[in-house]
This record gives sequence, structure tokens and C-alpha cells, in this order.
Amino acid sequence: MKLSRRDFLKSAAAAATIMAAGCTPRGKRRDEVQTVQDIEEVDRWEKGVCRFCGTGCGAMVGVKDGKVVAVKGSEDNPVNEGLFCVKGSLLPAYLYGEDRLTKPLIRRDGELQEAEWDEAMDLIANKFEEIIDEHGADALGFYGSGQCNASEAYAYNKLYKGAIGTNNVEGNPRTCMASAVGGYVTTFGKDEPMGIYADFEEADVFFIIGSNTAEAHPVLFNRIVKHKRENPDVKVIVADPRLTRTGEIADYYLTFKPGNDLALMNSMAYVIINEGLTDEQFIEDHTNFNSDGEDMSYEEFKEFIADYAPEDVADLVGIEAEEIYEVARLFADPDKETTSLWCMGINQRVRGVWANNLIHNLHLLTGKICRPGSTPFSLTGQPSACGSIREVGALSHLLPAHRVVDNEQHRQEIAEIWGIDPDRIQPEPGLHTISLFDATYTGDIKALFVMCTNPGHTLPNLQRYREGMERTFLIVSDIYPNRTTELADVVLPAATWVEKEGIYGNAERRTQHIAKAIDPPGEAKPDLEIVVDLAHRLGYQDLFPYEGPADVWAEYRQTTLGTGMDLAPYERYKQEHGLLWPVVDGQETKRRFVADYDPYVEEGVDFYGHPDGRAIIFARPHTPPEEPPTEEYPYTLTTGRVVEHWHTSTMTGRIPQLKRAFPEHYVEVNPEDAEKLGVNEGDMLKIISRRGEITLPTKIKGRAEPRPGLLFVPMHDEEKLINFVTIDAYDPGSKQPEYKLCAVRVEKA
Amino acid sequence: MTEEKITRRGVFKKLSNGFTSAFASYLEEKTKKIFFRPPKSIEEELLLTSCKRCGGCIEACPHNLLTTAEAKTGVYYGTPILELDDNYCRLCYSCVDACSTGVLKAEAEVNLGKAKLIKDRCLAYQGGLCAQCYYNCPQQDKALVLNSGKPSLNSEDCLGCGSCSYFCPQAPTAIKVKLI
Repeated sequence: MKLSRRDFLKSAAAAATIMAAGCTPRGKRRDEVQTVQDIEEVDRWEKGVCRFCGTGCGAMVGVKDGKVVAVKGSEDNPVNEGLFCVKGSLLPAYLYGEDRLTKPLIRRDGELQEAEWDEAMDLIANKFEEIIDEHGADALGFYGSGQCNASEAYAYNKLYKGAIGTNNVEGNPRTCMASAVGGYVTTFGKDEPMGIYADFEEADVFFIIGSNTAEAHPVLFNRIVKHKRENPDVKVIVADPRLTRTGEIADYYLTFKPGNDLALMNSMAYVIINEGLTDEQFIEDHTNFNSDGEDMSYEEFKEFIADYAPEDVADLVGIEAEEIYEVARLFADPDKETTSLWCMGINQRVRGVWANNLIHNLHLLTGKICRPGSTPFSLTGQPSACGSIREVGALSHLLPAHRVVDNEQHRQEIAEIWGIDPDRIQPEPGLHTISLFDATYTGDIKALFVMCTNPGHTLPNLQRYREGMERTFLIVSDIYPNRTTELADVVLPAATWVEKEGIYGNAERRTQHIAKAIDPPGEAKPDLEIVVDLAHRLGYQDLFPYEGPADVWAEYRQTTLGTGMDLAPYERYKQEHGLLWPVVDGQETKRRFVADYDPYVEEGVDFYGHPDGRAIIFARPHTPPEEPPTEEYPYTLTTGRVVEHWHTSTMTGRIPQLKRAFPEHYVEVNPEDAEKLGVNEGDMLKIISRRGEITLPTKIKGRAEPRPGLLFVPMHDEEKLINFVTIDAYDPGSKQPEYKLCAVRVEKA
Repeated sequence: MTEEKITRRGVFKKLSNGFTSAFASYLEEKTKKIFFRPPKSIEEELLLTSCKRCGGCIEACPHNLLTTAEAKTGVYYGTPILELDDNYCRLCYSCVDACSTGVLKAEAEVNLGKAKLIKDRCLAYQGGLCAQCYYNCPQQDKALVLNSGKPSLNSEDCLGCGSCSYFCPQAPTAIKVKLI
């Protein structure tokens, strides 16, 4: 290569600048990561699903010389039809971070040191046996993940609940969608949405509340944007105390006062009833009314809702009464189909289940449900929170296929398939997430197995639970060192994504297969092998005869048949781009609870989750957050996502382009508040709650703007953990913590 | 972009066309803008004559983006260079505030360069949902607009700060600032 004088000067100058900036040259870093343009060079393509959010985009994974070198959206997958968001497009790099865990580690003299698999697994098995002998099975706990494959979750659920004999099996979906489960189960008697993504293209009105769809679910947001662009009459209502990118397509943006969404939705119901916008026939035929567990009449419900006239709640909600009238009328317009979408803003609340009920109420009162374009659709954050946790039943109160532990018949049905005595399954729910980690602190949980998730970063009021994790015997199976492995006694190197075969289930009941494309690095192993190995070492060979995920699936599928959550044989998922359950007589189900779609319904609409086939409209009074702002703590803190990162950024943080695109976390401040506080862009601001504090640079002109009084901090940063500040109060029904709201004060640092 | 290399022979050749014009052309060549300059710089020729080479702007840059042209660069020696290869200018104008000679002055226009989009490398033109350049552009909806999710540029509004290029996830980048 001949260097011209200019090239030389440029490179010299570049070297100087780069050295000054303390980073490596961009060209070199970029060359390490191949993206879409290298597609012609791959040896083969394997079918999979994106590793990130709950959308479940079909992914085609390009392999060359045993390495994943490219990934692209799968064109014949109905979820994304070839589309992929920026995170998905950059997936390959996450597999190849320099600090990938490839050997088991055991803590010796305070340090994690390399060990052999046999040594690590024997240590765990012996410890478990010791603890069971001394303290009983309930001194053990498991914390899994909505990123585990279905077979992995099924196996660990069975190991703990069916073999070891404790229901202390939890997972991160408790912190993410337990309130959505509670909402569907209380209102309809069955978990998970009745609608699908294809309803978006049939909708005339979108009601999006507590979801920054544009950043958290970019592909789904794009479907809405495209639909609206092609149909200019489509209207979008967004309700969020923070003006986000999702607002770019909003016709109505309700920046309500944080924590007052229950009043807002009750007020919408008031307008709908008061202005005669209800579907009386639908209410008559398909609903019951209920207040606090007691049946009530429609007339009594009207009396309850009379307290929520827009004029009476406008001050509380912090928006104009007229805005509530407008959006309620639009929602209920009898000539329009309305789809509601929500996510953590609704679920992560001390009354998250109630907030979910109130969304369902709006659809039931207007009859806008169970038909194309009208559906209350809960968005999910993890690729298989539905497929591996809700459906597999891997939470402390659940059993497979939406069964519950405190139902004798359910226990018997599962015991029969598991090949155990029904009495081996405890009849009481185990510890839920917050109480499980609290028990590590108090010493009641002696050993905790954490798989494919990072509670040392993600639990609210983190200080106490990190201390708990240090006290207990902690086993972590993961792919990179993270804020949980640093607390662990044993770290197991796991295989991830296309390094193993598996099944994910997305937010729309679509079950999809991920083919194994490459071998895991070093000694890393699939989590299924780890669980089965542990089961064998504990003496449960007969209960865990599986050779691989297909064997587990065959057994798991038995638990689903005839339940309304029927799954298909494993082979079909390998061939097809996912199937929507229930799959009955080989046919998938696009819409539940309605004849002609749902094989469990003979005529019309039938909410068969409740014995009388009726859904319940709940009278749920407005309830403020656990910690409303006070004089001493005058601001409300909320946390959330940015498009560049995912969860605790253990994966996205190893993708150079994403790391550089969003290198530093910050606190978003409303310009009015910034002026009041006397802070400018970039000034350091200390955020202090009753539990902890954090110092972050101020962002005033960022990608979003919180309403005055509200602060927003992204949740991904591995160094500065915002969860030292957040609150661990939880919903008494769903046990999901109220991450979204806590009171803080701020100081210029 | 290739440049004519100034050689002794070239200068002599031009001499034969008439000394004056050759000298003017030589001077023009010699003072051509070949480096990115700090924002709000005056014209290159004036910069070369007026800059005291004090390094004030270089020290002032909070992001260490400015460096000095080396001695080998002749007339450019000591003048500030803005390095956009692995970074982008935040347009904070700390350098402008630090300039005592008026080479960087508040009234001057920001004209670092112009971004150029290479569509067949751009994710958005290949079915990806990426708008990193758009969302990070300080002239959003002016210099960079999104049409059906695909970015396009309006050169006249582009300041040349390089943030589009910096945030582009493609390897190599699908959008690049060129000197003008």
C-alpha cells in the first residue's frame, strides 16, 4: 500500500486523536463485526428467532466456518416479514465477546477460579443434598428466565417442584409480566392474549399506554406506522407521562401525572357509559360485574364509575377533561376497531393487575374484543416469557399449561405425566421473587440457582438483595461475567441462542423453533444439559431420561393437550415459521374465545376460562403509587429502555456499534425542572431515594421528555445501577414490583 | 476523492504558462482545505494567515477531537484539525469561545463538511429498522429526514458534525462526512 502524504498525515493525526481519546481505531473494531452485507459469503442459513425482545421476529442466521457471521429478518415469517431492528441486525457480535465464559468457576478463598464440570456439578449436588437433609427442600430456590428455552424451563420446573419437592421456582417474568398474567386470568379466566399481531393491520384506533413501543418493540411499532401511513384515518392515542418516540405517530398524547392511569381509564369508562357508547348486547351476553371478589350489578358498576367524571379527575390525572372525553369517544366509536397495547408502565405497579383489568374493561364495555382489529394486547419484553415461563408454568404458583399448584386436580394431572406421586408436589405456592430474594437475606434460602438472568442488576431496592445473594450459596449459569456472577459461589458457562436447539414462545402465542447453528465456545453447555446433569447427580435419572430438547417437548406437549393451550409435535416447529396455540387437529388458532377461529368455541363468543363463559368487568378504584412524591422527595423516578440496548446490556454491551451508539446513561429532566434546579445539559445530578442514590449526567434535550416532576433513567447500565434507588413494593396479586414509580429528591453533584 | 499531487515538475510546468497565473494557482493549491476544521472557522486562506497556532481551541475541546497539524504539513503546521474518523463534533463551541484571534468566531457558519449516504450499505435500505443517523442528527428533520423509515439527506442543512457517521451501525459506515 502506497501512502500518500495526505494519508500519512491523516493517519498520524488520527492516531494522535485516538490515543488522546483512549480508544482503538474505529476501522479495526468495525472489521471484526460483519453485518448484513456479507450474506453472499455464508456457508449456510439456519432458521431461528431473534434473541432479544418478546416480539419474536424470525431470524435467518448465516454461518461461515462454524461462526455466525450474519443475521437477517426472515422474510416468510409473519411476525416481521424480513424486517429487523438495529439490535437484531447486529446480533452475531454478542456471541463473540472477549470475556465469554467458557469454563466452570468455583469461588475459592474469595476468588472465582476455573474448575472442571464434574467438580462444579458435584459441589452443587452435594450442597443441595446437605441443605435438604438439614433444612428441607424449601431451603432451595431457583430463579430462571424468560430467555430460557421452553425445554430448559420445563426441566428445571420439574426438577424443583416434582423431584426435589419445593415450589420455590421463580423467574424474571415475575418482574416483567406477572400483572398482565393476573389481568388476563382474573378478567377472562385464561392467561395470554386472545388476539395476534395481525390485528394491528385491522385496527382503526390504537390505545397505547405504558409502552414506548418505538424503542422497546421497534418491529411492532413499524407495523403500526406502516398501517397508519397507508390508512391515514387510523388514529393513535398514546398515554405516557413521558413524551417518547412513540409519540411521533400519536394523534392524541396524554402526558398524565405518573401513577394516575387507573383514574384515567376509569374516567374513559365513565364517558363510554355516560354517553351511551357501550355495546349493551355484548355486556348482557358475555360479561359479569365484580367488585373486590363480590358480584355486583351493572347498575352498581355505574354507581361506582360515577366518581370518575373527567371534570372530577382532570386535576388528579393532570390533563384536560376534554382530552379524556375525546380519547374515550374515539376508543369507543362503534364504527371503529380498537386495539390496546401496553407493557411495563402498566404491569410494574402496586396495582398492576387492576390497571390490566381496567384496559380489559374498556374493551368489554364496548364489545371491542375477539374480532379482527379489536383486542387488548399485552406486549412482552422477553423472547420467551410466554413460551417458557407462563406456558411452562415456571413460577412459584404455577404448573405446566396454565395450571396452578393449589389445585389438587392440576397437581394430579401433572404428577401423572411426570411419573411421580401427586403428594410430591407441594399444594402451596412457593416464594415469589421478592420474598425469595428476601429469604436469601434472612437466611431461609440456603442455596439459589440463577439461570440466564441477572438479578444482581435488576432487582429493585438492590442493596438488600445483593447482600442476600452474597450470603446464600449462589449458582449462576450465564454466558458473560455480570453483576450476578460477581456474587456467585459457582458460575457455569452456558451455551446461548443458536449454540443450542430450542423453542421460544412470543407475545402472540406463537411457538417457534430455533435450530442449532454452531457449537458453543470452550466448555460451555446448554442449560438443559446442566439441569439434567444436576437431576442425575441428585439421583433422579428415572425422571430425567431426556436425550435432548425434542424428548422434553414430547413430555411437555402431553401436559398441554385438551387444555386450550395445545401445542404441536416438535417436528412441525422445525418445519414452519411458528404456530399459534392452541394447535388442535393440526390447525393453529388466530383468535381465541370466538367461534370459527377457536376450536374450543362452538358458537359466538365464549370466555371459557370462566365456568359460565363470561368475562368479568371489575370495579377497581383508583390507587396511587406506593410512594407518591412528598416535600422531602418531590420528584418521581421512572426507569425504562432505549432502543440500542436490551435488559442489563450483557449482550448489547458486547456489540461495539451499540455500545458506541449509547455509551453513557443519564437522567432525563424536564426543561422546566432543569431551570428550577439550575442544571444544564451534562451537569451531574444526584438522585436520592429512601433506599439509595446514584449520580448521572443531566439530559434535557434527549430523545424523550418527561413531564415536569418526573425523571427518567434508562435501566441498562452495568456500572451505575439505578435499581439501588427503585422501590421493591409489589402488587399484592401479581407480586410484581413497582419499578416504574418511586419518590426521589435530586441534588446538583 | 483523489487530489492532484503537487510536484516540482508540476510547478515548473505551470511556470511555463506564465509565472503569475502559476504562482496564483500554486498558492491556491497550497492553501486548499485538506483537513476538517473546528466549527465556525473562517475561510481556509484567512485561517492559515490569521491563526496564531496558540493551541487554545485544542485544549478547550472537551472531547479531545482537535489536534495540531504537524510540521511536515508546511503552511498548515500548528493549525487545529478536527478529527472525525472515530468521533463526531458535539457543536458545543468550546473551541470558538477559546479562540482569541477571530479565526473561530461565533457569527461564522458551521460548515464542517457534508454527509454523504451510501444507500447500498444502509441498513434501512435493506429492510432493517435503523434510524440511528436520523435520531442522532442535530438537524433532525432538516438535514436528515426519514421517508418510510429510510433516511435521506438535504445537503444545504447538513453541518457536517459527523454524528450520523459515528452512530451508523454498519461496518464500514454507510454515511460519511466529506470535506467541501
